[in-house]
Amino acid sequence: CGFQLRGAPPVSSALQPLAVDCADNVPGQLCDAVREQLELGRIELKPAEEADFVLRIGKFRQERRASAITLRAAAAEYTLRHTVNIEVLTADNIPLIEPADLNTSETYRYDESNVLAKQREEEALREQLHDRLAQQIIFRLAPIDEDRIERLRQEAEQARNEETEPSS
Amino acid sequence: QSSPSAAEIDWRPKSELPEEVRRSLPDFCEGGYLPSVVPSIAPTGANAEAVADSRQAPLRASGLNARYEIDNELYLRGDVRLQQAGFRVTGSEARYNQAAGSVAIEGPLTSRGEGFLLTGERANYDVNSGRVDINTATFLLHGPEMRGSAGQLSRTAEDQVQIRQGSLTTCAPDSNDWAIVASDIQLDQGEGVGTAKHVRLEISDIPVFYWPYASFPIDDRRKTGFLYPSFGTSNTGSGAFLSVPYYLNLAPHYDATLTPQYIHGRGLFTEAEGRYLSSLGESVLQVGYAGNDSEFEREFPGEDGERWGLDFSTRAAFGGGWNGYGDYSVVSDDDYLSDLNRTLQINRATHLLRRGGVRYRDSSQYFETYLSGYQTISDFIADENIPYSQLPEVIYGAAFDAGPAELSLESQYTYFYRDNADLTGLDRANGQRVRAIPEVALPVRALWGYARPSISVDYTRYELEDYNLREPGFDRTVPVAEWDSGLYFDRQSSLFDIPYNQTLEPRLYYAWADADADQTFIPDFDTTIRSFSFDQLFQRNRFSGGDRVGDTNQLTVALTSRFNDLLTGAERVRFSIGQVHYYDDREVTLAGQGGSDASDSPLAGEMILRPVDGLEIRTAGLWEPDTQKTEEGRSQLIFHSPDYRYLASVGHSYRRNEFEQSDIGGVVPVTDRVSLIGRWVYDSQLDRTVGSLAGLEYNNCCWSVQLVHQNYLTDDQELESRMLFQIQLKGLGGSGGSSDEISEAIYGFDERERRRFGGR
Amino acid sequence: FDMESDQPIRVNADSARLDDGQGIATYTGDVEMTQGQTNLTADKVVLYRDESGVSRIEATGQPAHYRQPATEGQGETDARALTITWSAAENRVTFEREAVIEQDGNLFRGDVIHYDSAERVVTAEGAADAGEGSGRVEMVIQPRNRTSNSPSNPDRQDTDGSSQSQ
Repeated sequence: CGFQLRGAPPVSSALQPLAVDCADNVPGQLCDAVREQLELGRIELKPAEEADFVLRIGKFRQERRASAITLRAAAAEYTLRHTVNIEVLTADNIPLIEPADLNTSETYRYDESNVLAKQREEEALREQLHDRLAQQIIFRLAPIDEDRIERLRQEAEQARNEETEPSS
Repeated sequence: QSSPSAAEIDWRPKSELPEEVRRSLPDFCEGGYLPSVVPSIAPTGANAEAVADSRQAPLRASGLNARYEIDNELYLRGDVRLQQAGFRVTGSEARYNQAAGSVAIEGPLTSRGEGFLLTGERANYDVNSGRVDINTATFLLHGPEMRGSAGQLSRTAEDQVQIRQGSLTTCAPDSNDWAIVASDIQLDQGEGVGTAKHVRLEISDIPVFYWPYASFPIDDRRKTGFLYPSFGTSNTGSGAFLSVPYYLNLAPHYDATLTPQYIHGRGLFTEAEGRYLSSLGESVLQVGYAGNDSEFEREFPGEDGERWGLDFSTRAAFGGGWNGYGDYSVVSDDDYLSDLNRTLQINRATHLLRRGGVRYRDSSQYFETYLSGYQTISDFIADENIPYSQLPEVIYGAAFDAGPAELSLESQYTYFYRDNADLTGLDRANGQRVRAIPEVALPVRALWGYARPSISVDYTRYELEDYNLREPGFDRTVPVAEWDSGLYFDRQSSLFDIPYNQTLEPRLYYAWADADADQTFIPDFDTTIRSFSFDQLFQRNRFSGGDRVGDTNQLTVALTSRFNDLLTGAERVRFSIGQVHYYDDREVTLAGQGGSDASDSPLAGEMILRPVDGLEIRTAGLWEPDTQKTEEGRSQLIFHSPDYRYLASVGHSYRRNEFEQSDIGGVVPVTDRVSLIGRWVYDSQLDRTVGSLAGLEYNNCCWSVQLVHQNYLTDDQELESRMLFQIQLKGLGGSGGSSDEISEAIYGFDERERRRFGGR
Repeated sequence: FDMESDQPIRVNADSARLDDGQGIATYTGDVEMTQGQTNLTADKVVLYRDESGVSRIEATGQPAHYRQPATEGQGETDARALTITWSAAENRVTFEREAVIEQDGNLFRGDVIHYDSAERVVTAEGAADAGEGSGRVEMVIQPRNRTSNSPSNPDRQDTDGSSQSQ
């Protein structure tokens, strides 16, 4: 039915050397998970100054909301929701994808008579959410291949020439 | 008819606005301002280079006729235009005294600069300092769309505007809905803050509020807003309340908001929030204090009326992978939060966390040590369920590659303590616990799949106090073996002419843990049974926390399929389904739960749909094949229209004959200006409403009002109601008041708030 | 031109026509009048004399060009217009149509400019009929402190007489 074993890595090798630039408020775990998955996909990571491309991860937000309550208005269920914004640019600041907000969420049963245990469970869930969000970020890099980079570079070149043309 | 004001000159109805301005204009505004762009006259002849320092820039002047006494005085008459560097002014006459470097301009004059337009009767411009003083002026700041008039207006520097006998508003030129009138207003566009003395807020020219002194943000760099008075009533005996926030911009790196609130029946309740930004990070202190709360005294005769609450949080980045954090909350009594600090969340806090610690992280190691505890503020928590404090807890984790193998260690030391005076038996136990889980794994990875066999030892040592079941020092060693493996299949095709890549990801996960069955002699410090989720199928320990290690010999078979949009890479659809086969009975229990002799788990499934940006549907469930019944189910839909004016969120959670609740919320614009806000939480098991929110929001272009009625459950199982009314003045920065709270009830409301006044 | 000074005024041109009776001398064709460093170039210059000497000079050119060297306290003056007339009675020079005067970095452009060198006053009007000169007077005035603090500043590039690129 058309399925074959995967033959190509998730992220095109054209997108290297790549720098992963995480803003201060992005948890280290999320940033490391992205780096790890990129390295597994054989993408060479370099610090920002030496890289040709930059993956910028920022505006991290984590929300915890009661999604169900007991009769005494205590939370019966919490939903965790992590959101992050990503941008991919070339070293000379040509955007390769539309900046995108990614989010992932998970729900867990809460019990106000077992607060510490639920705190442990929440911490474990947050790690899973970091891994899932890292995977979503990798998915967003997939469409960037050699000819898209070339096409966007030319478009930017053209735009820059048009800008400088009329007044010269 | 006097000459047009600055705002009237640049104001255009929506139809006449340029395309990109119209696009960012909210629907409820009939018009907007043309962008103020200073046409840079091509520099003429000799000195074509742009002179950076405007004081050295030549003065360009023109008019119908001129008289110039060389190096002394220039007198121009008839449609006079003057320009020096970025500053331009036109008027009927101008007299430039070159010796003094001052230009006197007769009106009606207009002066346009980057992002501002001024008009006036007479003006004085100092060529050397660039200072402008205009009498009977009107002004328009294009950025914040703020206009106003002034007896005297002075632009003392590039970004400093001083206004005497001034008034300012963000309403359209023809509307006097509201205005801030003050004897002295100072706008510092560099800092983004305005300060004013003898300030009166006028609604349709009627003074409504008065402040001797006030400072307010004029862009969104600063957090809280200026006068967002909010008032309302509530039937929990605390009656009507009026709160008036008051923003103090003390210094670039610290500011404060004072919110005195009068609550009928409770008297004065004051909240203060201070923010301090140091080089390391930000600290926020929130304090609330009620002097004598008569309602509280009536309810609890023994108490004096003094009630207070404090919340402190700080973050510090020390660099080199180290950072520190601290959160501390405390309240004077259990009902403080629900009586005095109501939010629109449906639940009521039962515990306040206090935790402070230091963390280190690099790519292969993780270390953290912290102290943590809780204040329990609910009377319905039994003593044995009061959470332990961790004084301290130390965590160390590391992972190294050793050739093909991957070595990792997870370790944790905790000293658990709680007041066990009136507790008995196992609940009295306090003490230390050390846990270490070294693991060796042999991960094999290929493009098309992976396999990860691993063996580990889950070792725990207890040193207990007030424990008499047996020897207070004992340990538990559980050998564990796991094998996780998976394959990736891809197929490309397209649906509704969107090309996508569909994956098929079968996964097998085997786990064996030889834990001794009887762990009931171990106290329960921080352990519970994990709640169901699809990822939980691949966890070897069915308990979270450290006091129980589940015995298991199980194989999980699962299949995931994703549809990734090939243009953006976004995961549009994901289906997952899996089941666990148990080869032995599970005997380890916690409070009698967690053991089972079933040979198969229910079928677990999860589905996520993101057909368009802005719509996300999640559903997950546990379905028992032989009884054909859903054991557990959880679904959620979250929607926002591209411009965030339509919001919807629907939630439903279900646990067979135990629990079922649904939660529907949303915001629907009825007309361009009026939107309905609603939320309804219904418990089908109890067949009653457990929370509701009904709100109306009226928006006109320069102010908005929100009226919100909230029904909320209290800990005596009764529904109580509260009304909240709040006005917001566009352009005076910040949100705050009920809109902050509504975003806690409805997803996407804070983004809608940000875009309400045209912010993109 | 300073009539009282003893410096001779030399005029050379392609052709000249004298009419002693009415005291009018007309020079045409690449005319150049100089007195010391002050000089005037034009296509046609008409001199009127009366009993006390030259009473009026009219110069027309495409444009006529008048240059007066710097004196103490005052930079070099460089002026052009389609017609330049000097009248002794009013001791004033008038520049008409496309008139441009540059001095000490200051620049004046207009349809009619009068320059009274004795009083050092320049008055300028835009033409009422608003011909192609947009009927306005335009000027660029250098900030005072720049010119006064370095009067002998050699590299004041704005008065090196660079011609006006119209």
